[in-house]
Amino acid sequence: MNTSPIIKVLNGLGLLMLFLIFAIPFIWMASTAFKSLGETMTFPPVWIPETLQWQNFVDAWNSGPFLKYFINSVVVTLAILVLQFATIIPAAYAFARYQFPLKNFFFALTMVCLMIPSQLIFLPVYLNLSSWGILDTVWGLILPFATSAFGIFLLRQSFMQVPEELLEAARLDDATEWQIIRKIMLPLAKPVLITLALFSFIAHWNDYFWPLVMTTTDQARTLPLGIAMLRQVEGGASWNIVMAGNMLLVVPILVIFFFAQRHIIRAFVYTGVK
Amino acid sequence: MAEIRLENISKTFNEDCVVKNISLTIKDGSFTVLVGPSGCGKSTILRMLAGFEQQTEGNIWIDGKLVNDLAPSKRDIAMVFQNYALYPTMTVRGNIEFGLANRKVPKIERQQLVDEIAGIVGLTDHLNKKPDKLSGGQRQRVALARAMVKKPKVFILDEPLSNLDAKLRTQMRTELIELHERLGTTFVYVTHDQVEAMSMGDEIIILNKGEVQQKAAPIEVYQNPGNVFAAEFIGQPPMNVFGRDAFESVLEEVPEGVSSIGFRPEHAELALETRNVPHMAELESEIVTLETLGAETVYKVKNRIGMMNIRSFSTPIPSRGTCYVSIPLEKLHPFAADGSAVPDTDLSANKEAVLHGVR
Repeated sequence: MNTSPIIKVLNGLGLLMLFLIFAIPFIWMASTAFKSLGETMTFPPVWIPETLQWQNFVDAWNSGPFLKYFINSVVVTLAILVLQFATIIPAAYAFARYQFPLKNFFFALTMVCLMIPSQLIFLPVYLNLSSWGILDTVWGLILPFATSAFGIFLLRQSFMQVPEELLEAARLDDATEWQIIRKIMLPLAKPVLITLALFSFIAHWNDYFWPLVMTTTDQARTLPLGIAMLRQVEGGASWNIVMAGNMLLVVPILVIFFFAQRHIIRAFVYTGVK
Repeated sequence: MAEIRLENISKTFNEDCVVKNISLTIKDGSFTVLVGPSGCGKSTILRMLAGFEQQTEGNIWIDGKLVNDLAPSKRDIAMVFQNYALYPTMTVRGNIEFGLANRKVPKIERQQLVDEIAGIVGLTDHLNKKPDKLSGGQRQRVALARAMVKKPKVFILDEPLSNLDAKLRTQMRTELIELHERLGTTFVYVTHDQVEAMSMGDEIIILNKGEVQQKAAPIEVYQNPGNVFAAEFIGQPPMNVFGRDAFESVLEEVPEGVSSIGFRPEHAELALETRNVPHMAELESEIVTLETLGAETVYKVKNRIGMMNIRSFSTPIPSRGTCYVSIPLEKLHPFAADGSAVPDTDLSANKEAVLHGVR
């Protein structure tokens, strides 16, 4: 089909608009992170600071125990990722491939978990963790997310699409159930696994609510909390410092996006199609 | 190499009996074909043999060993699946050696075995490709190689050629026969295609509704079908079978106990003029349709007995008018009321059964 040049131009402009809507907040954040405090207040706003204030990042980093926050964030996010995979994979395989009593009941129960928002259950969970004495530790941030109903659901769907003959062939080939999972199921479910890993990583790296509720000292605080606290130092907010902190938070995700772009697009398209 | 013995095997799915009390022996080293229409239980029998389904009743013996409770991998069998079931994320080499690796065969030995088998099935150049880069015929060969490399006692093949195009299917048929001769292993082959059954098997087991209809060599099944079902299942077009009444008007005498009579389309002869050949029942007929297939012509004709197919290898008759169909009396197959063949009945005793049928 021939598209007229006018339509092409309009199309391009529309896409540019869409791009700007998403990109401007980020550009604004990056620009502010490099400004001096004075420049953040000027009107009309300046987009490109006169001199790049690298010092902002140092100030942001030094304004609190940011190394601790950073380590906590890494530990919590990675531990959640590992635990989720360790629990999701066997559960999804069992739901997809085994027949056992009350299977449908347990699956329905899992689906119910998917539908309950965490704001609804944080209080009982808080009390529970409190009775275990792990409030204000990284465990309190990890354990509530040790599994994911969404992950079980998504991976089960993917496992169910694998033809039964493939498993039978593998069983004839002396493969154990674990070998079937590792050598056949997981390689086939790779797009889904990447999707899940990304969802999990982004959600927990950025999570603000749960660490806010569960932590009271810097002992277990994560990066989002640390950055939120930047706002409260010395009365008025130094937006350039806050934005520099935000950059520190966002950069790891940007790096991951940079390296895994292809997989990410495929993964999101995949979930979109489902 | 192994003999397979099924002893009173039954299989019931939710009160639906798909295999009914089957007992049979598959000879060591034979190429046995289970054939029948869909839903006849042939695949279920195969899956019970492989251990993917547990029989509701009965015993299965492979090489003199009771395997009822043995896991599929412990039965010393290999299977080729209809859709090949190749592991999509592994290379051809990975596919072939997966079973060996799981059995902890050392890497060097594994490599030798894979290379050897790949040479036999002609996959040497493709060992590092993934299955999705292969053609249908090559995938089929990978599936065969994966089965062969384990050197099993029994090969089980579940409609392995049904996903191939017609030409490749004929070629693979020959290759499978050669492979069987070369390996000398017991082959159990399931198909719904009677041509495959006839051309490949040294023994055919015809199944219908979960019961064995006939078990015999292909030529025996063709010449002496055990019952009406076997007669109508094997042969293209199928045997013409008519009730006793239809033949009473043609034959001088139809013996007691015969309730239907059949004859093969290729045994009848078709002529434009009456010939009065002795020991043949001649019927005045009308050609309804004809299919010209080149080497042969299949006519559908209508006469006092009914509608029947006639298969002729002589030059096609161009007109569609009246013709004369002669059926050799010695080629008639009498069947009893329950459908089974009545063996010792000679209908050719009707010497002068020549009748000019009134349409």
